[in-house]
Amino acid sequence: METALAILVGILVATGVYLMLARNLLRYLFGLVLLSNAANLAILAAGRLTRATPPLVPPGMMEPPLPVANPLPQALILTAIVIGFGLLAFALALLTRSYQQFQTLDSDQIREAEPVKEKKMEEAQG
Amino acid sequence: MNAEALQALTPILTLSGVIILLMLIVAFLRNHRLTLGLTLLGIAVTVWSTLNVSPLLETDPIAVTGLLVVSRESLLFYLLFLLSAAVVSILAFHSFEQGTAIQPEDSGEKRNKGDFHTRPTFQEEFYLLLLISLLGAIVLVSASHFATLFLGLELMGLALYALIAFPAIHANRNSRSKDQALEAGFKYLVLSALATAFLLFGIALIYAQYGQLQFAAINAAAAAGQGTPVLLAIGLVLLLIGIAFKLSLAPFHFWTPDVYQGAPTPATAYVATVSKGAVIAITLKLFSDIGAFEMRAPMQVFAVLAVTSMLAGNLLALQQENIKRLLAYSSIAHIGYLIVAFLVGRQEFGREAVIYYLVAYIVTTLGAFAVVSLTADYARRANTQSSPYRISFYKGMFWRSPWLATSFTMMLLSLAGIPLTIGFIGKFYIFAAGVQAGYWALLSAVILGSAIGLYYYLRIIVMMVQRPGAVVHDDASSGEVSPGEVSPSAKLTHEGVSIAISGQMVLAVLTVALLAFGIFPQILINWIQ
Amino acid sequence: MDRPHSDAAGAGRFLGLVFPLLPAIPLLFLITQWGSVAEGNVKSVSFPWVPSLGIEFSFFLDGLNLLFALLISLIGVFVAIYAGAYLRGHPMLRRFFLYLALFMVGMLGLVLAADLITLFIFWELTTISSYLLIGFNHDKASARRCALQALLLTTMGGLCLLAGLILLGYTAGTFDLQEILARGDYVRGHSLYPAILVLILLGAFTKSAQFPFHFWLPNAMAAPTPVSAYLHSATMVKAGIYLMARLHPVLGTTPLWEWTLTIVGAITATLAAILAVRQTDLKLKLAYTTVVALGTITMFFGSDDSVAIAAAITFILVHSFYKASLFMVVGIIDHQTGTRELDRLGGLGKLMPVTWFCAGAAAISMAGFPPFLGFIGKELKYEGALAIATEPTLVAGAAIFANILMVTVAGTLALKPFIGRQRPKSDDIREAHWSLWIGPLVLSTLGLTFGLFTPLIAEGLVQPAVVTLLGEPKIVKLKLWHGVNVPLIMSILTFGLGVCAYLYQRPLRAFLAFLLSFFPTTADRIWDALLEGLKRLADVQTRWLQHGILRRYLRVIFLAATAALLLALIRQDNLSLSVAIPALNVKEWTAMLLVAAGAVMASSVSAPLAAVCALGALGVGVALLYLFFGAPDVAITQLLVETLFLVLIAATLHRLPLSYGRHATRFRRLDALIAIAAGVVVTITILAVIEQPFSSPSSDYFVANSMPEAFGRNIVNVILVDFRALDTFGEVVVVFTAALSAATLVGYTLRGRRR
Repeated sequence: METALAILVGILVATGVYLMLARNLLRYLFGLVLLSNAANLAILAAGRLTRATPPLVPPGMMEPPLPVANPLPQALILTAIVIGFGLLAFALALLTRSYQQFQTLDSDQIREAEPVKEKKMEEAQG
Repeated sequence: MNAEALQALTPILTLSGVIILLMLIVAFLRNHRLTLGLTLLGIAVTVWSTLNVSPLLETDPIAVTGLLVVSRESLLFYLLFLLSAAVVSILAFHSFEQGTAIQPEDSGEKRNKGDFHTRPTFQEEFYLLLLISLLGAIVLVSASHFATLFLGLELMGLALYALIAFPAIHANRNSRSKDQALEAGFKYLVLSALATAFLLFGIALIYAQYGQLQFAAINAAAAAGQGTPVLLAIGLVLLLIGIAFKLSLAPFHFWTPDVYQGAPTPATAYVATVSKGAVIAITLKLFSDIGAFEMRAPMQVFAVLAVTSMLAGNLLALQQENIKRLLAYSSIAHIGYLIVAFLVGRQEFGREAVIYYLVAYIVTTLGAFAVVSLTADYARRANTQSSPYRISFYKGMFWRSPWLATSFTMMLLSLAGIPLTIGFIGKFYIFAAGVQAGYWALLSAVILGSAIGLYYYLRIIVMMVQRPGAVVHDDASSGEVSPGEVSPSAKLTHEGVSIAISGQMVLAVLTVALLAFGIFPQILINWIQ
Repeated sequence: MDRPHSDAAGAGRFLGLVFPLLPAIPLLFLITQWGSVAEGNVKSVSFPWVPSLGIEFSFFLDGLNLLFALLISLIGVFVAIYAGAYLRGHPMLRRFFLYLALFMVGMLGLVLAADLITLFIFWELTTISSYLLIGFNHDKASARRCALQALLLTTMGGLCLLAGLILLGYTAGTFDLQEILARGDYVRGHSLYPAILVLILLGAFTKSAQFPFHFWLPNAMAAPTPVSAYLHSATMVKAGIYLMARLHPVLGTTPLWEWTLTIVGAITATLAAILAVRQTDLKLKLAYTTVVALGTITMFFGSDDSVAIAAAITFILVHSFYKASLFMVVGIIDHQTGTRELDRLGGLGKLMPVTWFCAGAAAISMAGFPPFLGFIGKELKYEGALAIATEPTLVAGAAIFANILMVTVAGTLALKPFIGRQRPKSDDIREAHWSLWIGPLVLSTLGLTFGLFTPLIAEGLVQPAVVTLLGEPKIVKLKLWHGVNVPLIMSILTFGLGVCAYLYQRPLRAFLAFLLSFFPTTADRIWDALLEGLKRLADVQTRWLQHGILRRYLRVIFLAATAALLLALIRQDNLSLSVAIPALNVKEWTAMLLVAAGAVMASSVSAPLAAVCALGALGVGVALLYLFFGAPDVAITQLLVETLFLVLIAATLHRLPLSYGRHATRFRRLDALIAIAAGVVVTITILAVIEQPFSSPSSDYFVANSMPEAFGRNIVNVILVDFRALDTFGEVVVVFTAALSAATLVGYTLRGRRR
């Protein structure tokens, strides 16, 4: 089971990285979504997978019947999901703002901070 | 959670309360001056509560629910960050205040479709976000659990993104600086988010071996022989990459110059000081709690990062003409120096060296950015043609504004590690730590890096000492000013840079601190110990 | 600065009178201590400074530094008088005096310091104040360049020195100079000794203008003449010499020390002597002769023979007197005639007799004619040179060669400007004001007096210094007449050749120019080239590293991170992976495939809307996985967040471009490769980690205690809202912050009244 999940994480990482290397910022954002999903799944895998019962204590018992899924990574994933969502929402806002400002999402063209002489050089190189 | 733990938490709770209160007040009453006053008051109250907690910790640090540990050391960082934030908020006030009116030169520029600027701008959020980010920093330095570490880091970072991109919505900035701010914002976001991903992945790997997320528990499990050290090391290396992003260690430093340049200078000062300081503090704590100082792989990675940072940072700064970018590169190098002491962090002396250097770095960097920020405010007010961020703007500063130039010189000398400044003692610590541990390669890099560093720090000082109206022949090669052209600062030749009283006071306090701790370092060392 | 000149000038005149009293105070103090120190007593005073680092703020006075301190304050008095007159009416005289005072304090502190770090601090103080003094004429671009060059070179040397001193301090176990002096054997035997020596010598050589760092000193002649007279004769350049003398008992007497000092000193002296003869600018000529002297002294410190050391010490004394005097004379000529170019000067002797006398007396001392102190110094030098064990021929040869040319230079200085036809033709040229010539007059006369009353010098100054330096009692005898011996013959030879060289100066100069033309470049130019190269390297590196293109940054980062991980994996010995065909049921396979397909599709489509759909499918797949593997809470959250995110995107998509194009074709392959590598490495790492046996005590704790302690049945929820309530609170704050940040950025401001 873990093997499959590890490979899945690998696929997510690969596609995420590929997207992030694009020049379009929206693509980068999508890549980030993939990567954060990959991280969450990695945490799940790190806590070892069970098809067992969810970590719920049935009524009338003090402890859940074993084997039970590991609750700690789940708590961490919840935190990561929520924070990741905050990050993505903010990133989206920033992206919208950037598009309004620059009329483009091409990160190669948004290089205000760079020294002018270098810009010229880049142009000269083609 | 017992009463003691709750009391140990008071600084954090106070700050949270301040934030909520400020938010409420801002919602009903928008007044820039009032907001600044409340921010400073809030910081003062938090400082007071921090000082109140201190007697509790005479003997042992207090653990709060296994997530946080409040120790005397973390209180020291609280104070450091709180005071830095106070300086930043005063700088921000000057930076955003005079610009409520849109400047004439701005009105002529192209307006993009869907621009929001027609409405009046509000700068009160800046303080709110600043305080939230500060809260994140404070939570971060008291973390004793990966969940808190992650949380504090993200809290600090999320507020920072907005702080960096803040000029994008502010009316007193021209279109170019808006563009730069947005660019800085998304660059920081993009790379910081990536760092978070690395961090999470590292945490996952560590958890996968030990089933623990608490630093001390992981150390105990590792000591008990659980897991393989190598895999723990891999996890730590990933974690380190995430940390290296935040600390802008080469080769993970790419965002630094662009962000430093694009962000409003007060926010830059904050990124350079509090944000990095908090990360260093927690890394120090994490490493000693988890026993990472005994591991070879993360230490080696750190050593390599330190060397590349020292060399790359200094070399990149050498030819910089933009003062903010220059300070950005120099900060890369300085964190590199700091890591040299960090590698000795297992010993008491190493910890002391790290903390001392950090304090020195924060005081000096804050001071340097305060000068840059206040000068830029003046330039904006006076509508100068040349950019106040170019080094050439400082030409002849000694003759125009002797006090400003003197304090800037002090900051630069401190950065260069010249005696009688706090930076010298910092450098002494670095050397001493390196010598004690016998890190010869690292020490050579420190010497080489500092030697290169001297050049660009001294160059600015020389520039400031130059008499106004001097012919600029020999600078033509490095600057963009061609020999025939009048120097860009010529317009200001006989005009001093005027700075408001509070700004002057900030500079005075920082300069005095820099000299006082440089001349009487024992005071600070006693605090650290 | 901005003050009216007349006011400043008036204040300046007053200051010019008062200021010389400042160095007179330490001078008087030193004279009162002289007697007791000469008997071998050591006075010291110490204040605790940074006890936790073992640094003290302490000073001491013994035979060696008494000599230096006396020179500094004595010459300081006369330079101060001279400067007040020389710069009379200068608008920034006050500033000048401030810098000068700063420098004097630095210099005295340096020689008197009894703690390595105290010493270093004063060392840097002299560097900085000398920078301010050298660059005093900021108007000239050349002055600024030279000041910066001197500053850079000496501060870099200073940096090396600091490293060396800290190394020395930790090796010896203390920063206390007096204690270190007693531990010489231990330090010399230590494995770090070569590093210490090299670092400290780098500091000393840069400060004292030794080859290959000699070029900054002549360049620093852009400084006003009083500065040159003070800094570049008796004080700053002697700081390095002092350091070598001071640490001689600790670092000296090893072959490394001896060879380095002897060879560097000999090269410096010879090279500078040639360059001195070639020069026609009087001040530059003097600058090079200073370098000759410094080289000679360094060369002698290479030995541990008492005669050689005594020769060096005597020469320090002699040189300080005549060189300060000559600098001031050149300054007077410059001041009165407006030029110091040799070819434009002549016949001034009648107009300026006192100046001529000073110049003559100093020059005779420099050339080493009896009965001046210079003669004794030179005789001693030859005797010392012959006594040096390692390489007497080299040392004596270099000393003779340098001295021959010194005779020539001395002749030029004493005669050329003063005899012959009067040049420049002007009626305004007259003798200088007394305050200008009093300094050189006294110093030149002192050279003569000391020459006649040698025991005073020998027993009072030189002997205590030599004894302190060598750490053993030695009797130093200085006499005018030693009888006919080898040194005397060498002296006569020197005079003869020197006079010849003087007579045939022009052809000699031409010959030397011809000789030097074989050396394609000067050290000065090499330094410039070095700086230029460094700048170019920085430029290249900046272009290469800091291009501002985000995706290139990312490429480097991903590559570096992948490489680091791969390296760590490879270096692990017992890496075992068990790759089994996963036993999954159909619904699990479906979920996995959904995720994988979503990911692949999201990365390949060109319309954002399609990508959003793919992401939606992926999100559902991930949620299903959570559900199947016992995490229903996470699954629900994931679905919720996914939905929210899609809603957000949908809401903003109309503000964003319809198509975002494809991946740039040029990089498609490369990027895919990087991406795949990253994915593979991550997979392997996870597989490797999962191989480890696993137990999770804290999870067990939560499982066991969630019901009994927190009365909650959903353990994940209990962790979040009870055990980790703080964390969850923090999470809420994070989301709130994100909202606030986004709101700030988009510009939806909170409504409120503006005051």
